[in-house]
Amino acid sequence: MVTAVFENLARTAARAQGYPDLRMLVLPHPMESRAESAVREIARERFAALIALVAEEG
Amino acid sequence: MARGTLLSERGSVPDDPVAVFEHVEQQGWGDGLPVIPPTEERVQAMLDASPLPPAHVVAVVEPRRGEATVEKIAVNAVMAGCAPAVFPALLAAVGAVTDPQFNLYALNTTTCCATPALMLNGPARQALGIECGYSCLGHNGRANATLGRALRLVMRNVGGSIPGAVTKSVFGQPGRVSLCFGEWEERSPWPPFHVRRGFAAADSTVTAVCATGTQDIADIWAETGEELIWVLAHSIDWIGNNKVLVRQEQGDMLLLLCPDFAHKIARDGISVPQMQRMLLEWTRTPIERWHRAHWPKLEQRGYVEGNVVPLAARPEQFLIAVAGGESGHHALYFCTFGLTWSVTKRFILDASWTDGESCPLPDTPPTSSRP
Repeated sequence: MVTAVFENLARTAARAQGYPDLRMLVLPHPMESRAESAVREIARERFAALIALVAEEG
Repeated sequence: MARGTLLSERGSVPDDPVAVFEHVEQQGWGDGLPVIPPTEERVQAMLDASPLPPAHVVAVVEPRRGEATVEKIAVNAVMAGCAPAVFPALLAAVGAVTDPQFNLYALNTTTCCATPALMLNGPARQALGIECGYSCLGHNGRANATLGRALRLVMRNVGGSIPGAVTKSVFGQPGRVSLCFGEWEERSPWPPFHVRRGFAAADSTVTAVCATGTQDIADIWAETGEELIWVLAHSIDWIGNNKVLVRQEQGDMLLLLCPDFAHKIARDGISVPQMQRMLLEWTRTPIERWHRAHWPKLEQRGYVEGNVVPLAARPEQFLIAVAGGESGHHALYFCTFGLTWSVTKRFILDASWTDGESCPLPDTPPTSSRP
């Protein structure tokens, strides 16, 4: 999981570590300044997408 | 002398300074300032200042995990304008910032403006012409400017520290072009910084401190060392300090004292460890200085002791060194990024580079503030 602003960095780091096709779930940025209720709402919204990414073949 | 086959890809650019400058910028290899073309001859001259072969990997530079070979570092050193004599110090600086303790990955990717501040100690300052006094942190001295710049170019071109794409530093800062100086050991009342770290006085070292910048601290009223340390402590305990964002026991921060300040403190019998303890005590900030809404957030993170938020956990987290001009009245605070520790590396200059080069001693007329 990565917030949107850091997506390029995450892909660069993944390539550098030998995982160019690493699956990522991109979340809104920033996260720290949101209220806990808002973060929980994002988590609920994106949970299914996260499970789908983890369960994906290959 | 490290003669060997160079492996870098060769390119051809018209023999014109502007054409070279524009080519480097178009390729994304530069920092916005003109560069010296890294011709094979110049790169070889740089390599001659090190016994290491060109293909030797000095470090892997995060986050791209690029291999910083001696050759690649030499190419960047030429581009930055380094004299070959500086090259061993640059190799040590690359080793310092890639030490895991320094946490270069975080520095190269953070939203913060942190950058390595390089401090040189030992006899190499004289041999290399490192400025330690007047304006040593900017616009004074080729060695200072180019050594710091070369390290930044290595971080960019080998480590992939590309603004916006990889590094998310919101503002960057001027120190991300170059930030390098020497401790003016000869005008310090205390043992040199590197000696306090366990190195010999005859050793030459470079220390990398991960700094969010330089904050000026001015004082003209303190008559005692204690008064002055009070001013210093309450000039570095502001609540937006990046250090506050991490646990107290993490990170170290540098206070750079002008010789006048250092002597005022030492005159009153205050040692460096004593000063560090005073700074630790006087940077325990009352929680009332934060907005009430912040209190539970600080408490949740375990940052609150009673009704204060300590800036640090141990005296040694306050690094003390001496530099700057004789005109006095100022100190500089290098606020730490937080998730990082300073690293000191020793380096050895080839004797042929130190012979015949000298810099004015402190007692000579103030045309220069080199040691």
